[in-house]
Amino acid sequence: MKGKKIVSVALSAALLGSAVGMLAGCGESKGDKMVYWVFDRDMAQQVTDYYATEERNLGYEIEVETVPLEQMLQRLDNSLRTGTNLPDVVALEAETFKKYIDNGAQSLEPLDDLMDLTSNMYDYTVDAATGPDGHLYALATNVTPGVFAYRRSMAKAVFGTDDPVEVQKHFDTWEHFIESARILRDFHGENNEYPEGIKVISSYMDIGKVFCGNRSEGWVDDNGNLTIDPSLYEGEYSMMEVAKMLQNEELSHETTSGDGTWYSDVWDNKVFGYFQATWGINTNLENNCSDSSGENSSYGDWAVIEGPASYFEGGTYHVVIKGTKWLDEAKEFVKFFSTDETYMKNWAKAHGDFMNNKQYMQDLVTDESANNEFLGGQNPYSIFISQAEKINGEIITRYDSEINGYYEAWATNYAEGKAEAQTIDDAITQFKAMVEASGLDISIA
Amino acid sequence: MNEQPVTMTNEEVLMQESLTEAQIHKLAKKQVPLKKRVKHGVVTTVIYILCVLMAIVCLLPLWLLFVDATRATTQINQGMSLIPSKYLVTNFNSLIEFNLPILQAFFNSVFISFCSTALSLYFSTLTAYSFVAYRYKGQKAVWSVILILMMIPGQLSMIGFYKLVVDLGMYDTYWPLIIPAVAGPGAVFFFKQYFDANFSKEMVEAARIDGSSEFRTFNLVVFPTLAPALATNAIMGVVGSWNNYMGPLMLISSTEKYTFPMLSQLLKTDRYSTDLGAMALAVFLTILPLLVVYACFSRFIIRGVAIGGGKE
Amino acid sequence: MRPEQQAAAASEAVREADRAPETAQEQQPKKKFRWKVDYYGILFILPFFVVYAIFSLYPMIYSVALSLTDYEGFNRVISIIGFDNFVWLATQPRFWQSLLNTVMIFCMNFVPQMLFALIFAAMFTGKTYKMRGKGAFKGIYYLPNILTATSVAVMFYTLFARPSGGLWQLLTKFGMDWDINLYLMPWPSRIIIAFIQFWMWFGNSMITLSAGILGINPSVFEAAQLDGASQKDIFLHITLPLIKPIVVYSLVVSTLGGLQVFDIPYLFLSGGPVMTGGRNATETVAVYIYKMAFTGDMRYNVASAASVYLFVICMIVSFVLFRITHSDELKQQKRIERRIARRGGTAA
Repeated sequence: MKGKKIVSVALSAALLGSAVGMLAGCGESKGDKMVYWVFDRDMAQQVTDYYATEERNLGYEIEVETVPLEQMLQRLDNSLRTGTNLPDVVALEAETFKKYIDNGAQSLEPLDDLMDLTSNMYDYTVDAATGPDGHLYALATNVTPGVFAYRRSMAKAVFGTDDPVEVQKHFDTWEHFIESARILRDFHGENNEYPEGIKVISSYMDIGKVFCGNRSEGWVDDNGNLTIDPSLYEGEYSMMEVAKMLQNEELSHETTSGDGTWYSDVWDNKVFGYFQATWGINTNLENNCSDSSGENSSYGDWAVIEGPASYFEGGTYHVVIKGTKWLDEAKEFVKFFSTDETYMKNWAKAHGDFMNNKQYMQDLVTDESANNEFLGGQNPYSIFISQAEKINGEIITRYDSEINGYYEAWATNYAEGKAEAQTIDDAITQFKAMVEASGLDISIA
Repeated sequence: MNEQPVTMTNEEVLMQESLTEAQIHKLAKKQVPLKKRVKHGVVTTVIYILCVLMAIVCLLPLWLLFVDATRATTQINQGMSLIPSKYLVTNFNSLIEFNLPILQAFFNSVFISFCSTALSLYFSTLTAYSFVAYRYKGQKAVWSVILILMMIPGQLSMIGFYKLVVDLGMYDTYWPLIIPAVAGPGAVFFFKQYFDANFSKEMVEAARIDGSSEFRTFNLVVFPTLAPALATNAIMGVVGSWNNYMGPLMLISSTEKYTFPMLSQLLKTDRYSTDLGAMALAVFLTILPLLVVYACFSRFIIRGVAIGGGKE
Repeated sequence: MRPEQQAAAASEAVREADRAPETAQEQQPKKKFRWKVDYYGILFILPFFVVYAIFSLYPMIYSVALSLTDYEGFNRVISIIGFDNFVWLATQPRFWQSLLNTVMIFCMNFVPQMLFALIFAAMFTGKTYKMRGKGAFKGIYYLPNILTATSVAVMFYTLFARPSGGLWQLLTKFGMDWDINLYLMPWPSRIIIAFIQFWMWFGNSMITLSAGILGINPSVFEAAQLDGASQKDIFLHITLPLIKPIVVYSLVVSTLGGLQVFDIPYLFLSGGPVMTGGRNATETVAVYIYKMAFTGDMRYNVASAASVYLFVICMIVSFVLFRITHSDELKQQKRIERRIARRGGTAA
């Protein structure tokens, strides 16, 4: 019985291990490093690239931990509740940061003394970061207007031009968007390069974020009642109807956002474009524009336009956790990432990002080094700016990520023609029921 | 088993003094009419086909996963395949670029599952031993209590457990994942069964006469004799603890303390799902250690299931 | 010794052991040391009960207590509000649906699982048809059971995903001619989850049942064979009734496990797809509890109340199952004993 011997060896090792573990588990001391949580690897990189550099010589270390977005909230909630393992500075994402701002007094340090730095920032970021008690609790690093990114080669083949100004004319309203989508669908190319036609977008529910970001009313009014913006369900080109058209007429590739195929469509020659916010151009498109073997690539074959609606998606806000021992350093850190010119411009150029400073971004419009190779040399900043001006920050609530999801789920069911959602009214009723069942503190009118 | 040489005739075989069971079987077979033998053959074939089909059902998903791990994302999108492709190394390289803390998580899981299993083994055997080696008033009642505890669903105390862990300051440590292993009614039941079948009172009596203390007796005389049962239970314990997902999900917050199952969750939710091939490889890597363990110890594991006859 | 034999020996011994304690007690010769030595018996079970009390019993009581409070979110001041949470839950279609989902997923997985396990156990233990490679087959069947549920969920998620998943493509090759996303439809999602559970637990059930069949006293079979009973009759009228306790045991343990199933439904579609009335198609009670407590407005009180409901249901179910089967078991045993006795009489 050879197995027995192995087992007994393993067992004694385990016993020894547990003894060692008990000793090791006890002493946990932190304090010589400022801890920073961030949800994106590239953003983690910016700390070493721009902030904690040798020439700046901070005199202390910054421990950067990359926490995937999906886990960030849970971890932060747990840490805040238990008071253990707390970071000092956290990068939060716009869709979910509001709940911490709402409870700002309990969990965050007010940043009111940084208020005079906000003159050049987009106002909505300051409003959104101000808690119900009037204190400023966060500063936004970037502003995230959404655009429509499309494939130049396809635009040239189908519409005869890849010039953003011209292409925008085909996509400037939802009506035109759908019309162009039909043309794309029926296009197969002279030599049948596109045997299945071209799908205008990969996942039709990607329009969800466009519509939700384009609302004029937030999900919850001042009295805590659920409100649904009319653009989501009223009219010929409401979110519901557009989704249904895209689905029924096979105008999209019918993937799910974030699925493998959704990503592979970035280089696979099947899909015309993506609704992406500024950062998504880099994170979602550029990072995935070729397959693992490197044989297929769509690099340089992209351009951005305003598309049918202005919207925003995401945005990075820095908060300082209450009770930090690094208060001054933390504020300095937050300040740097929201105001430093060199950092903001360089980061924007390197990542195609759009930073929270009107002046710097205006400078980039005429800065040739801000031309984006991935976008075929296009300088996207004038488009970003025009989209950013239209962002309505009042619609941001702490419930956005959940309720957006619920609404998209029922818009999907309506688009798919499910029995429970044959009409828009049915779908809305079901959506309301879903909000009610979620256990969120919202009353349904 | 000594097989019957083909050259022997029936008579020769019959003349041998002692017949093995197999030989009798063979002889008996030849006496059976052809029709019955054909039927027998058909039934056997059907049984084998069923068994192979079920084996395919069990293995196919794993095989598809492995094949995907060797294919490029383009290929995966084009359709499924049963034949591995040549992109394993490419996928592995992309996986490394993801910077997933695979090794760290692996050793975390090893640490937790070994510690908790070690505790579980020692204290479960100790508890079980007390039921066969000693008599005291109310012992039967205590045993019934343990049997009842076996039936109490542990997961239901989830919220309270979470609060307790937080209150004790054990949040984001491994303690709450390891210590509760001391009180596993299932393991106690398992060892009680084993003791009932194999315990020899004489050995303990002898040790006692030699002046060995009760603890010493248990540690040095009784515990080592449990090796086969320990082995079986240990592997099941390690696998069970290894696969625990909800506990770490609730209680661990630092990335460097993540366990192996938490990694696979990352794979689905995060942007890692971009590269289908690399993702398939990553999922495959998360089950690889278990496949290796299983290849080595499947005998113990299956025996454990047969004896324990239970699910967790 | 082959594992089956050992298992048989073990289960034989278990039955013996029920009667063993009394005899052991009588044999103990040294009465004068008894109280002192037996003191250790209590000492040895102490760690078990202390740890159990702290890490299982106390949390359970704590959960019950929380279910009566308004402990939510970042709330630090807790006050008792009585049974409001229970009342609120009772009016929630989503909660009842989660219970229903749990039961449906369990039934869809358990019934075929037991059926197949019985058939395969019968084939593997049958005396007429000797099989080769039993060990290998058993090894293969049990393999899925040891795999990490999270990995299994992710694996099947990618395999059934439209359009790149291997199994999705397999389905489209065999009959499913529509190009649909299975994850948007309640029943297909549920069936896939039930299938995953089946896939993971079939081997376990089969081995358990095989062990049970091998544990039956061979003389019972011999007697039946002497009587000229066919293989089919033996299986239906002797094997089945005799392994019923094991089937029941599996039933109880599986039901308790099934009522708490979390990993796969949570990771597979995290409860989705959505249904009318705010319900979800694959959200089990455990997933509901987890979501209530750790996402959204973090309503620990409601989550605790839900877990109390689940706890009560589990207790009732296992009590009823044991009650039904215990009486049955005694009846069966007597009937078989009578039968054997009768045969024994005629043979002599």
